[in-house]
Amino acid sequence: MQAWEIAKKDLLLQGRDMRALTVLIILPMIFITILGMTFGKLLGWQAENQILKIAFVDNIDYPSIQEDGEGQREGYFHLDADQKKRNARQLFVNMMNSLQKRDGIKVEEVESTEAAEAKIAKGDVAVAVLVGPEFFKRIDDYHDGIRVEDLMDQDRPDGKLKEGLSALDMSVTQRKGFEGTGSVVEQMVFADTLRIIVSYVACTDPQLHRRNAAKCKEWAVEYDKDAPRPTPDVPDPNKKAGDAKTSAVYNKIVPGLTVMFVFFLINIMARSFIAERDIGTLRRLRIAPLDATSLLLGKVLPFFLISIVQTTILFSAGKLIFDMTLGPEPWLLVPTVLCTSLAATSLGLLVSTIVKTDSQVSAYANIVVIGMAGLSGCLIPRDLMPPNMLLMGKPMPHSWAVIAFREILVEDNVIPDHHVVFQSCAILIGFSLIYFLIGVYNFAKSKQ
Amino acid sequence: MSLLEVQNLHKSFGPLKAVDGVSFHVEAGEIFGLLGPNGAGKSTTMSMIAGLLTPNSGEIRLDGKTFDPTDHGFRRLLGVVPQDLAIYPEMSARENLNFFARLYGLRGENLKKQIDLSLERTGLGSRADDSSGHFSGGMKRRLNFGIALLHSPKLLILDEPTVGVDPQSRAHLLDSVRKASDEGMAVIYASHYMEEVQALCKRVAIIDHGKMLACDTLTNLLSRLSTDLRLRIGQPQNNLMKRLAGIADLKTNDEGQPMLVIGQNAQQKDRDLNATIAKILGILGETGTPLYALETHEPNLERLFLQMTGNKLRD
Repeated sequence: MQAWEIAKKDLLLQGRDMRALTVLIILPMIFITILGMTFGKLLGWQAENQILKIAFVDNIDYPSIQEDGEGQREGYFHLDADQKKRNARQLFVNMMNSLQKRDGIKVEEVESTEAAEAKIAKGDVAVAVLVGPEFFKRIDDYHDGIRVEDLMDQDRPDGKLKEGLSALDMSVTQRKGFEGTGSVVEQMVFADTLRIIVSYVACTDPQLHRRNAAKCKEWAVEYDKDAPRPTPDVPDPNKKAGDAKTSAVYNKIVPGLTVMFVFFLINIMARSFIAERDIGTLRRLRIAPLDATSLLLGKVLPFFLISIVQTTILFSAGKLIFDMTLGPEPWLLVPTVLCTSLAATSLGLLVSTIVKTDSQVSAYANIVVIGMAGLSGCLIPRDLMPPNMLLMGKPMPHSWAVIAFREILVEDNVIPDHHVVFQSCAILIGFSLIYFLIGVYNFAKSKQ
Repeated sequence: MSLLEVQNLHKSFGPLKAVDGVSFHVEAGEIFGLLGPNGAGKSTTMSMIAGLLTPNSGEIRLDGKTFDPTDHGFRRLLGVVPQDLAIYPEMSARENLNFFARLYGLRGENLKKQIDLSLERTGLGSRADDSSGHFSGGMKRRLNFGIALLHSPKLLILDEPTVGVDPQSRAHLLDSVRKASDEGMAVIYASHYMEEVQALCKRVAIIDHGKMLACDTLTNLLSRLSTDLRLRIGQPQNNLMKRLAGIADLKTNDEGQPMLVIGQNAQQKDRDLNATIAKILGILGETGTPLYALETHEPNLERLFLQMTGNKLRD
């Protein structure tokens, strides 16, 4: 009962001290925002809205496109020059629209190669797809002498598509340092282009056209001089970091930073103990009719509760503001949050019984908090850390908290491994017991 | 039976003997003074009585039973006013009182009554809901005192309770201590302000280097000192001091002026003072030494304290 009186008093004092709120809630939110944007940038997503921006340049040589000749494309619709020009443009537009539909990508048409390069240099786009003058001619050639096997097996040694995008007079250029992203975009564009070409070829076959009339509407196979020039879909101006890829960035950084800032409680707890010692109230508490364990429980309990509230706020912010997923089994967060908070407050108690002054807290407690966080994967995702560092982080509670959180906060369609989560929780409880017992021993010893 | 009996208490910290065989007792309703220079062992003694330190040997009996600090019942008998301002500055006076009262198990009407009584005793009623961090030094001291009285302890330990307070707050605190004593509380009063101890305590113990140098009633202790008769004179001449040998001593006062001192302690109390003074006046006249003033120097606790503990500076 007396423990609860001390806990209520400390909750009141912490509530009146804005430093705790700043360190435990506001600081981690700032860190999460900054690191989220930075990690996004590293992965190639634009920082301001977490979107990969791609420029498309239509360099197709439209004047050179001619009406089908006599005997050309036998068995297919006969197309005049205007129809073919429209189809060339439609192919280009469909390639853009295909990419535009993907999550996390925004595509815009740029008037020239030079303009695209300027945009890359300015950082407005990360990648540019250049569609060359002979693009349509090469498709038309394929069509003319169509070889299904080229489409079926693009890697055939004598196949016309074995050179990839360049076989279609297309190329991809990207910002320096974004070669990996450029390569991925090239593969996506090549796959989309082949699918679009197949659709176009199929729709110019009268028999297939009849069977798929609805899907073939976009291809000009009958003369319609009033048909408007195809234009790409306008990208959604509100398209933001709400897709799976960008939220994954926050899924990686929010748990780590949350764990790190949960352990910042050590600082606040130690300062609370030092303040009690300095102003003499700790002496008064020790004279009062309560045992050492009740006193320590009373000192630890409010910080345990604060820690739970802190974690709940940070994960809620991750979900609501950064669209982080809580995984398919969010209930697993409850035991993990409780065990992490328990370990943090017990370690806080241990540190509080060791440090004697505010300057010792600033020096040693911060080394403990930041050092342990760094080695445990709170700052850098664990899958980017070298094995030796991971091994060094094993004797630290942070590691097990991060392991459990990462296991829970997986993609929605992956079931977390309960064994990993509960094993981590058990280890965190073990750490808590060890820290608490040493803390109680230190406290009792200091009395003599 | 005394409320508190301390017998042959010893406490060492490594090679340092902080308390070395201290014994004393305090009766209910008595204010007992505990004096000693810094590092003499007063605080260690009081910490052992308060249950904060465990003695190496010796016994503390409280209310007729051997003191066991793990027994919460004993702790409820104790009220401690520490030298530090052991209050939470972020909390109001009422919040501080409420918190500590609850730690001592006070609840409901009794809790409210005791808080109100404490506020009244300390004169903080009108500022009860103000943050104690904004209080003056005297107000903080009074709150510090009020907290110790909340649960009506049988033994009140005060460690330098008036450090840094204004005369009004000091007078108020001393009156409060007297009232507590009148209500039957036993009080141990440790202070460096000798006049406070002299004004409050009937019995006093003086400790130095962990040992009890004296423990007696104030009257008995002061009787160890002489009441000096002092004659301020001109420069001694014509073998004055030779002629006064065995009758008076020559000393100088703070201004460096020569003074003849006639000691009058317990052993000399039967001396014929009339004859002594007449003889001295005669010799002064014969040697042509002028007499400027005649004054008495009463014994007090400060003189006794310095006489017993010496003038050497303590850390």
